[in-house]
Amino acid sequence: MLRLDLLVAKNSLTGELVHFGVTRMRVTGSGVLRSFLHSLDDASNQATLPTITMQANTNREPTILSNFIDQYGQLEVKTTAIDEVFEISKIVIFVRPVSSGYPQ
Amino acid sequence: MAGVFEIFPTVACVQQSGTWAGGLVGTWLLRTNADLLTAINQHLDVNLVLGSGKLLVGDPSAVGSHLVRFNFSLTDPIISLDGNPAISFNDLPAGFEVTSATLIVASRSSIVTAGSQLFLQQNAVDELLQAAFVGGNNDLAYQFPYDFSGPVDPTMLDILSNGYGIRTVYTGAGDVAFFDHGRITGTYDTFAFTYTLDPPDGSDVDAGNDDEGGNLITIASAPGNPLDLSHVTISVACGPITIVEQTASIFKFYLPILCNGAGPTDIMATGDGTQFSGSVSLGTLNILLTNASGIYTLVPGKTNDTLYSSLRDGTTRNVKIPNPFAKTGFIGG
Repeated sequence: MLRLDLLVAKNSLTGELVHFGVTRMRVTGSGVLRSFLHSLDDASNQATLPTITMQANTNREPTILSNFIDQYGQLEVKTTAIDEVFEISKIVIFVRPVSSGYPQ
Repeated sequence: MAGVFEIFPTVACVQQSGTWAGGLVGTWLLRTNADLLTAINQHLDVNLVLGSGKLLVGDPSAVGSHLVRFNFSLTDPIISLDGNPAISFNDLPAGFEVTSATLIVASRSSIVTAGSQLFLQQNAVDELLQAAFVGGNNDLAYQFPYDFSGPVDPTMLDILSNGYGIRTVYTGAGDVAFFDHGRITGTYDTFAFTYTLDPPDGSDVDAGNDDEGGNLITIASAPGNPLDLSHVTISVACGPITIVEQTASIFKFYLPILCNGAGPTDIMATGDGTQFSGSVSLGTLNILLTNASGIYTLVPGKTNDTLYSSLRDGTTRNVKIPNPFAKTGFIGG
């Protein structure tokens, strides 16, 4: 069963290129949680992140690394097998500006 | 895996011409095909043998040809592998192939005139003149090896289907010869043949033809030791398949709509004896419910969807909820 408690996104209009390096989540469930980073419209950039094997009870917020650079990024998480469920109560994405923009 | 085999006992006597009998030496009252069959299958009782020629005073002259032919069956347990209890042709292991074979008939005695001849037959056409009649007991007296030197080797199916025969040609009026323990022994090996299955083993597929939304299943020979698909029959347990194409290198078919919702189903290949005999699974495909429907209700704690067959036969199938996901908004600099 799908359940969403939250997810707060921070949007910015400055357009700087940003490196998405680390994603940390508070997630419980069963099965394998698969994560992806998408650029706007998936035009030219998409990253598949390492999977998280979920547990029903845990005291850890797993950290997954990524190497995704774009002006904007969108995190997608999903499960793909029968009877897999996930419940996420917090997502933290660590980003760092790497350049001011794309060349003209 | 290689080993030795023996085909014994013989299953039927199907032809006799001339003078034959099966039974006690000196009595020779048993002359039906069934009696001859009993006699050729003896090898422990030296007084119960298969005889040909002038066996009794009242029998006609033995001069001339005397023929008896015997058959095997594909369903009786008559094939012993490596000394184990006999099994039938249909129970031979997957990939079974004969690598050598010899027809052997025992001699229990013979009294013949010079020039008399004995032939063993592997089929109605091929016979081998034996070097000589053997005068006494000899369990290996008469032999006829099968020919494995040609372009096409005999298969176990050939051997069993052709049966064997014994033909005596006597020149003396009183000639007689006695036989028993007719059998075929040889060596075998088991081989693996290479192929691909598309969709691959474990995939979800829909039953039915193209118009019904079914998946086309393709089996193809693969390099290495290619499976010859022109000599196999493909089948599934839930119903008869629809063959689209069958050549030596490709086999395409649709699963029958009868298989709708059948779940994990073995794709079975049955050999005709050319490359292998018996049946083997080429893989397992998960047959889904085609045109399934359902009323969506939210059930607390339920982690899958239950689909109902549109055929309204009560068939249901639990499937995954289609890739539940969550997405953040766009995060930027």
